[in-house]
Amino acid sequence: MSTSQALDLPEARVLGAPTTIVCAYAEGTLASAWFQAYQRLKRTVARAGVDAHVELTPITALPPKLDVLVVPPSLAHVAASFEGAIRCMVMSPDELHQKGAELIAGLPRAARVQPEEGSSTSVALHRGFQLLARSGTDRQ
Amino acid sequence: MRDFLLHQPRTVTDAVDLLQTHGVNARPLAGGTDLVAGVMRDQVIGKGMPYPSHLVDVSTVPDIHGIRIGAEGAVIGAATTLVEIAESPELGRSWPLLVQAAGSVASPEIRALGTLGGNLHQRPRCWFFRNKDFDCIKKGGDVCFAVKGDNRFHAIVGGHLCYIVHPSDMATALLALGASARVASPRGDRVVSFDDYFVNPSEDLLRETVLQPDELLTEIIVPPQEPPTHQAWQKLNDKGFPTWDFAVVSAATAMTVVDGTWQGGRIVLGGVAPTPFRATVVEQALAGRDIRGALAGAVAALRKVVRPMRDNGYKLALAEVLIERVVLMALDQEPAALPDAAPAVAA
Repeated sequence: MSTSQALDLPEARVLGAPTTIVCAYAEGTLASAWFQAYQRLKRTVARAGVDAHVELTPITALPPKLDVLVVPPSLAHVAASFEGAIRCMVMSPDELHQKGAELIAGLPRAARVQPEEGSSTSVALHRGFQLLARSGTDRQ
Repeated sequence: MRDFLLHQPRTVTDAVDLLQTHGVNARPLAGGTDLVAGVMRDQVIGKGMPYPSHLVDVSTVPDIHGIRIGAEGAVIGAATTLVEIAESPELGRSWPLLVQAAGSVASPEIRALGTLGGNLHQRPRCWFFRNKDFDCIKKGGDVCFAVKGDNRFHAIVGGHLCYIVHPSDMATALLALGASARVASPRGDRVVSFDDYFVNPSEDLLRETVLQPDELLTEIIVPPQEPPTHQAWQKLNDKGFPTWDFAVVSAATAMTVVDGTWQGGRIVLGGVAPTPFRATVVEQALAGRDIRGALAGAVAALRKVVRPMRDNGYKLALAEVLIERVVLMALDQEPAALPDAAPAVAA
C-alpha cells in the first residue's frame, strides 16, 4: 500500500500543509491567563488529532504563514486589519475552551498512514527532515 | 553585543517621547550594569523579549537625579546612584534601612554606576532566563525550566508558571518603608505605591512591574516614618558576606514598637518570590504581642504560605532565621528620626 493510498482513507484528506493557529499577544506583555489558554488549546488540538499546530507569538512577530489568528479582546482592532486575508478569532481566555472546540471541529483530520494489512513494513511520512507520521499513528 | 542607537534626552518629556516612539524596542538606560552588561551582552532575548535596538539614556536628564528631603519625606530621583543613597547622612538619619540596603548592593564599582531606578528594574535572576540557550516562558517560550531543573535559587513563594526571584535589594527595603513611585508617561504622571508596583508572573509573564513600554520611573517617594519606626536590614548570599552578590534571601523591617510590643509595621523578604514578598502572616502573628515572646511562633507562620521546590527548601529556613534576626536587630535600635521640616537637597 502506497502512501497516497493511505491518504485515501475516509477520515484522511489530501496531504497539505498543516493548519497554523497563532495565539497572539501584545508585545511586551503576556497575561498568564492568555498563556494558559494557549496551552489548553495546544493540548486540545494535539488530542483531537487534527492536522494543525498552535503557536504563541507577539502580534508584531506573526509567522509568514498562518491560517487562523486568535487574539484576546484587547487586540481585536489589530485582528480586524487581517480580516479577509486570514481567519481571525477574538476570544477571552475563558472563551478559548468553547470557541477552540468549534475551531477544531472545522479542521481536517490528520492524515493516517498505514502499511498493507499483514505487512511488517513500517510506513513513515516525512516533509523534508520532519517526520510527520509513522504507520498506525496520527500525524502530530 | 548587537548594534543599538543611544538617545540622550535632556528632559523627562523627551525621554518619554522616545520611549513612546520606539515602544518595546526601546529601554531606559541609566547605569547599564544589568541592561548592557547583563541582558544585552548575554543576548537574553526571545520571542517575547526583543533585543533593545534603542537605548534612552536617562542619566542625561538632570530632573531625575538627586535626593530631596523635607517634611513630606524623601524624594529620590530614579537616576540617583546607589552610592549617593548609601552615603547620604540625611537618609541615614531617617531611613537607615534604605542606606543599609543600598550599601549591600553588589560591589563599590557597581554602586557607583548603578542607579536606584535601574536597581528596581533589573531583570530577574534565574539561570535559565539569563542563559540564551533556554527559551523559557519568561522570554516567550513554553516552559519554565526551573520546575524540573536545578531550582536551588528559585522562588519558594508566589511562583506561578515562572519561578524567578526578584533581585532588587532596594525594592525590598522600599516596600518595607511604604514607598511609592512617580511614573511619567505621555498621558501624564501617576504615583504608584510599591505595594502595587511589582507584577507577579501569575498576572503577566513578560513584565515585572506595572510600567508600560512608554512609561518612565522618575522619582521614588519615601514617606516619613510616623510614628517613628525601628528599622533593620539583613542579606544573605552564597558568598558568605552581605555584598558582592544577589541575595539568596534578604529581609527588611520597619516597625513601630511600644514597650516591646508590635504596634504595626512591615516585614519584607527579598530573593524568595518573583516580587518583593511582604510577610503579612508574620506581621499578623506579631500584632499587639510582645515581640521577643511571640517572634519564634510568628515566624513559623511563614510555613503556611511557602511552597518550596525540590532544591530550594533551605530558603525557608534562611527566611525564618533572617526575619528573627532583622526584627531583633530593629528592636535593639533606637527608632529612626523624623526628617527635618525644612527641605534639604542632599545630593
